[in-house]
Amino acid sequence: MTERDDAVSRRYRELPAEEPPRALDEAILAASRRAHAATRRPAEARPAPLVAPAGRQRWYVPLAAAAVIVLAVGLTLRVQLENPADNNVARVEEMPAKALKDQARIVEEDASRRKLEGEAREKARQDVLTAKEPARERSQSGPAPFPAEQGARAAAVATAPAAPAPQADTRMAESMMQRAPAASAPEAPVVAAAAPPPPPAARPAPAPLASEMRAPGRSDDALGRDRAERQVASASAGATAKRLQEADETPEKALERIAELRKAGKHDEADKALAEFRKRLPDYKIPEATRERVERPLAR
Amino acid sequence: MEAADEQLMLSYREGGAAAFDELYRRHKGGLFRFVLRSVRERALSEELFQEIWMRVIEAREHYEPQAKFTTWLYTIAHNRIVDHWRKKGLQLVSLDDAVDPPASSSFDPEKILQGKQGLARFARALEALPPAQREAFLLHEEAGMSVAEIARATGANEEAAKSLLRYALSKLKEAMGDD
Repeated sequence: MTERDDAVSRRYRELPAEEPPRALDEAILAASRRAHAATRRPAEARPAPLVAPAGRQRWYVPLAAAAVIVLAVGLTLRVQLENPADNNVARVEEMPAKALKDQARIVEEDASRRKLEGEAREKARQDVLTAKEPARERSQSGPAPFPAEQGARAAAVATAPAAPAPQADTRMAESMMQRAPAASAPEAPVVAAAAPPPPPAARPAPAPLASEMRAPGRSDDALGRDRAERQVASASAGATAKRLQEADETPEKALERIAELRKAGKHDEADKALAEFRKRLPDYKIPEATRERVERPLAR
Repeated sequence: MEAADEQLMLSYREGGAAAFDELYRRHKGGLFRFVLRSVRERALSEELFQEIWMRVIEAREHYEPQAKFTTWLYTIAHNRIVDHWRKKGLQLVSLDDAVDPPASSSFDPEKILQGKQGLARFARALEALPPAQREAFLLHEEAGMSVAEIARATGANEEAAKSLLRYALSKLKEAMGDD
């Protein structure tokens, strides 16, 4: 630059030295500080670890996380494995209902079997009566019945109690089944102890329940409860079978049976059976010919 | 010994907030006058001045000392002022066109400065300069730039920058010669 250029520069410097206002200075400097703080904040905001991980320590967190995961999975599996046990408990709690169902089935089977036996006895008795009828007609004094006949009659008497209708038995079983879930397990042995054991001749020992055979893992309590309930049911099975047999009798058969009793001279039993018959079938009109045979003859 | 502007800017880039304060203190006056005498409107010059410094702040992370800090700073200022002129539908006279003085323009330093003396005439002569010449002169006076640095800051070649500066000085000298 030349000397004249320096003169221009000097003159220019003589012009007022304009400066930005102070407020503008502060605004710009504040903006600089804000930008500076915003830049540093992410790094400063990151909290320093309490213990700087080094060496083995750096594996602590991953190992802890893995241990938590393993424990969680283990607990989950354990819970899932324990669920079947819970199901077993639920099954055990349901057992009274199942046992009662089985008992009902057994009772029905027993009744059927009894019925068949009764029919067989009746047939045998009829055969015997048919064979002995001429002899009996010859002896008007009424000799003692034939032993076989006597046994058959005894069996018939034994199987003819004053029993309710078979529907009543079914209803009883159903009501027992309904009450079964509410029944607590410890009550079963008490019931079993209170119930008299069934006579061996009256009823054979019940076969093991299919549900019992299918569940080898069942607890002793459950098995004991089942046995007790079976005993309870079997105790009433004999009487029930008799009632069922009677209920299955047609009116004609019942009247025939009463006539047989009457003919055998067992008038008290015949009266009782006739009363039961009339009670059971009050509107049944007994034929005249049959009535003469079943009703007590008038004393002469 | 004061730290160089480039060192301060690097320090500011690395997080030294105080470095910016020092840079601002050093260059606020010259830059403000450059802007004020370029746009010749105080409110607008303050707005542009603030925007220029905000751009400096925003661009700090990308700053590389490839040139003088002053050149970098005034390049930002030049671009901002050009944007302003474009927004207003005006345009800086191209450097090549500006090299040649207008043949029949109304610019007549003798008429402008006639009857006036001293500094006032000089100020009027400065205001009467074409924007590109005035810019080159202001960069030379306020930023202390050489012709090469003016060329770099304004994006012109050195010859054009040299001519712009020469014409500006010549006109101003003429105004002074009337004193």
